[in-house]
Order: sequence, then C-alpha cells, then structure tokens
Amino acid sequence: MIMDARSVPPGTVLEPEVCIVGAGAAGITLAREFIGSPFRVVLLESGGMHYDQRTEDLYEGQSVGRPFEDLTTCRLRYFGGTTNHWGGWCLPYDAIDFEPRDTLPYHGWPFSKPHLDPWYRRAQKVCRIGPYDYRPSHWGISPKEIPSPFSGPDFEVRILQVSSVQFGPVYAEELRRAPQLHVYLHANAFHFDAGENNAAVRELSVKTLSGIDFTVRARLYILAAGGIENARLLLTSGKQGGKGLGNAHDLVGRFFMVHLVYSGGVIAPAHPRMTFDFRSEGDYTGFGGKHPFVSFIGLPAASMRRRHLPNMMISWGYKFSPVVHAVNALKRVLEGEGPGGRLMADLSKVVGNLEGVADFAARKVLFGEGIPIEALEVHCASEQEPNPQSRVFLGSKRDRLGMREIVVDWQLVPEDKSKAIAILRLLGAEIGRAGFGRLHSSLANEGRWPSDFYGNEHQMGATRMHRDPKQGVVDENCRVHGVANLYVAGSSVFPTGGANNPTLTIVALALRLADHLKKVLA
Amino acid sequence: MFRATFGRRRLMANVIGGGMAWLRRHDSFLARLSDHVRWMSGYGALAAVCGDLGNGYAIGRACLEALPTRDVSKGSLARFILGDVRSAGGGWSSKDALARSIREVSRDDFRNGRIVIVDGWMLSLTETRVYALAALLREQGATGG
Repeated sequence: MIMDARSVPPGTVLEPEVCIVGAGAAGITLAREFIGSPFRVVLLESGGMHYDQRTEDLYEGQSVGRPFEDLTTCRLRYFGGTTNHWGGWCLPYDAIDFEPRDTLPYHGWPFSKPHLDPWYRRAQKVCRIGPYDYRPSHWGISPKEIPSPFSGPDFEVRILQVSSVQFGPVYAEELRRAPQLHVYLHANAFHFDAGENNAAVRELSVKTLSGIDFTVRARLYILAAGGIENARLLLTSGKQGGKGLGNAHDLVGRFFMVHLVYSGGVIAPAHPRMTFDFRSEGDYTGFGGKHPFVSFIGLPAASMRRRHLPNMMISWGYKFSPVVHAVNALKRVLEGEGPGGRLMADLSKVVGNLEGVADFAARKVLFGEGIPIEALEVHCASEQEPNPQSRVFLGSKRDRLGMREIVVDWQLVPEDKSKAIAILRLLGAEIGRAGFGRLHSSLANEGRWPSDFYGNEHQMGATRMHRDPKQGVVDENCRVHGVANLYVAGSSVFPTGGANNPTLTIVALALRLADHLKKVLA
Repeated sequence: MFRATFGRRRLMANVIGGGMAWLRRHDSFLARLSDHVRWMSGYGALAAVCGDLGNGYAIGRACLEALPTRDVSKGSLARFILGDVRSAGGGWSSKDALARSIREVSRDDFRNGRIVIVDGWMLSLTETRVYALAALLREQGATGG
C-alpha cells in the first residue's frame, strides 16, 4: 500500500523486516522482489507521486571542482526517481568493465560479468525490453551492411535496447496492492543510528517537510537513494561527530565519477551517398514483439586491452546536404500539409533548389539513393577513470530538514583526456584506412575538452564495491563494510563506470541484492 | 696533328675510363640519375593531380604549416610523395594512375600511424604533402619558384 508520511502520527515507530530508502529504479525493483514474501517491507520516498519543487530543493548543493550539472535538475526526487525523465537506454556492462586492467588504476569489480548474467536476464523483464541478446546480427543488422571501419578489429557496431518504463507510474499499482509492503511518500530518511561503535543500524529517523518525525526499526536497511544521496546519508549518519557510517577508511564519497560526454568531431564521408543501412535507430520486429533499439559504435574488448584504452560509446548524427530542406518541403507540398503561408514558403524552397531536388528525385528513382550526407557528427560518451580525488562530501550549509548539503568536487585525471584523444585518433585512422572519409577531431590535440563537454547524470562510484574494506565502502554483496545490516543499491556501488548506460546494471544488482537479502532474512 | 689527335683520343679514353671507374665506385649515382628521369615523368603527373585540387588552397596552406619546415620545398615534397608511391609498388604512368596510387599510399599511412593533424583534420602524411605541394605550385607557378 502507498501512504502519505505527513499523516503518520509523530513519534511513530515502524518495525518492518526490511526498510528501503528511495523509490527509484533500484528501490522499486527491490521492493517488488519482496511482494509475496513473508517479510514486511517499508519503502521510504522523499517525494510524492509528482514533481514538487520544495522537495527537489532538498537536492541543493555546491560544486567546487570541475563544472558539474545543477544538482536539482540532473536528478528527480519523487516516486520513480530519475526514471521519470530517463531516456530508457538499456544494455549490460561489457565483460571488460568488470575486469581489473593493468594500466587503468582501481579498475574492476569483485565479480565477473557471467556472474551477473542471470540477473541481467531478469532485469530485461523489469525494464520491459527484448531478449538478453545484444548481437547486432540478431537485430536485423547484417555484417555485410557494416562499413569497414566499424567491423573490427578496433571498432564494432553494437546495439542497445530502449525501455519506455518509468518505474513510478508503471509499478505504483503493483506496490499499492501488496499488503505487506508499505510505501511512505514525503518521507525523508534523515539519520541512521548505529550505536556507539557503528556496528549495526539500530534505527532510522525519518522527517517530513511538514515537520513530522518518526522512526523505522528494521532488521535490514537498504540505501537506494541515488548516486550522490547514498554517500550523503552515510556521511551524515552514525554517531555524533563521527566520520559517518562505513567510512572508517575515508572512502565514502570518493571515486565519484560520471560518463564524459562531448562532441568527438565530424566525419566527412568519402562518398556523400554512402549507405548507412546499419542505421542508428529503429524498431525490430522479432523475438515475439516489436522492440526499439539504437545502434552505436564501440570498442571490442581486445582493442581496449591491446591499446590500454577505457570504454567509449560513439554515436553519430547525420548532417544532410541542404537539399534535405527542399526535399522535405516538396514532400509537404505533395502531401498537402500545412497552412497557406507554409505552402508558399515550401514552394519557394523547392523552386530555389530545383536542381538539387531534381537530382535527388532522379537518383532516388534510378538507384534508390537517399539524400546526400554532408557530414556525420560524432558524439562520444567515455569512461571516467576511478579517481579518489573526485568526491562528494558534506558542506556546512543545511537543507530545510537540517541535513548538511552535499558538495561535489568532480575531478578528472589527465588520462581521461589523453585516452579519449587516443580513441579518436584511432577512429580517424580507421576511417582513413578504410577510405570511409576523414575525421575532424574536436580533441585532436592535448588542449581543452570541446566546448560542449560535460559530465552526465550517471553518478557512480561514491560508495564503491570492493571485497577489501580499505578499498571499498560496500562488499561484494553490497553490504556496508563494518555495518552488519546496512546495504547499498544503485550506481554508487559501481567500482568502474564503463561507458554503457547504467540503469540495467542498477536493476540487475538490485535483483541480485534482493535474492541475497531473502537468504539473510531466512 | 696526329699527336694532337692521339692526345685527344687518349684524353677521352682516360676521361671515360676514369669516369667509369668513378661510377663503379659511386654506382648509386646511376640509380639516382635514372630515378631522377623517372621522377621527372612522375612530377608531371603529380603537378596534374595537384592541379585538380583547385579549391584546396586553404587546406594546402594549413598542410604546409603542419609539416616540418625542412620538408616543404616543391622538390622535397615531390620526392617524398613519389618515393612513397614507388616503395608501395604504385605507378604514375598517368594522372589517374598516380591519383590511385596516392590513395593507396594514404590508406597505408593511416594503417601505419603516419597521420598529420591539420586544423583538427586527421590526414595521411602523403595527402598532407600533396595538398602542401598543390599550395606551393599555386603560389610559385608550376614551373617556377
């Protein structure tokens, strides 16, 4: 059932077996896994069912490192979390993302990808996407269609699947009907009390913006509040004046990383009418349904290993010849679209580029050719190296509830740029070698990042996973080192960020954690 | 008269004999001479290829700036280009044949990391030299400078 925490009598003590903090992709996935189990679960969500600015303002914080996204807009603090505005891009992390790498410090997870595969398969169902099969050939992309630079050995075409699931609206009804599951909206987790020695959480204090305080005493607690808030809650919890929970080795908040997004440059194709039949997006009808997917360019693991490179997703946008405007105008004229004013403008465009339109029409009829491509714009999302100096920590300012706000000190290492340059040089060389065209790289020299460079909203690493408490905040089961009954879910546990979108991995890890917790509770 | 004639013959024999001996000691000269003759024919085809890059002057200027100063005379650029074409087994019997060969050599350049960054564009060393030569030819005239 779903309740409003603002109507809970002050001083109430809830005593479920499991308390989950945060109703985003991880929290909702975890809660759903307990439906039908004998365990009572409380799911606390700071926001309501819809966006609310006062609640969103609880995300306010400071950025003191590299310019970082506005903390109140890159996340959403209401039921469903950031899936309320996500793009739905789903794919598992690559096997190499889980591996230790000789030349990439701090790289690797405590387990391999095959270990996570069973939960990835289940995550596909949670995200309501197609089968757990990401081979382009199984998505209607024939190897013959893939131009030489992108068919190995250094680059390859890959696909990702597109989910349309917003976890809040899609799963609310299921949670509402579950009798032993209590969702509290407008309920802000405020402080984990873990006694004098921080060995186990005794209770969690909860506050509402309307001024009501209550307490949750559970057997197990799971922090699923998001990539930054997970670290914030750990830092602000524990005994008064301490370093926070799970922070004996000053690791909470460190290794904060995101994906680095920027324009990689422009490819001038050798032939403006090159075919790109391996297309960048589409719907594939197969596997018993219609599934949207997007193709992109990636680096095969062998290439990354051989050249000591991190991961990168490369996508592209078409920049068509200006004749495209005239052709589109002609289509509208022929289809009788648009009001009178638009008609005249369209006609004028067609007449103004009659030669181009005639050339296009002739080529279309004779050779089935499309509109000539002037350039391909290259978009990159690359892996950030785990870096202990890149961190989030508590500031002195407090939010409306009295909790200290977060300070983001996002930092890169020189290798983040030099390796991005190396990948783009490799891309330029492959494009030239294959006679595909020439690359104008926006990162050709060791200068500045391109002007559109930014760190995206995939916030990872601030409570990283490692078997060794001196190297990680949580262990391989996502339990906070040194705290018997506190677990963390979400991308903050990722020790390595890869380049792929993180949500499917967040969901897979949540499913895995749920299975583990059921065993612990039993 | 006879003495004089004999003297000239002996002189010529000595010169030729001495020249042959010098050439035997410096046989690479012959190879270079024949290369030069061949390159002269390649140079014509190369000038024609460069002539086709009519609107590439701006690129050519940028290429000139990107190359080491010592490499940017017409002669050295032509020698580099034709030398690489020859090493790759390419030919220059015609403008088209040379253009094809340059394309092949350029692909090899990319394969072997012989890449020059020109205003952000990643070009092969050979095509950079061709563009640079085209710019020099335009500035100095195909036969002068």
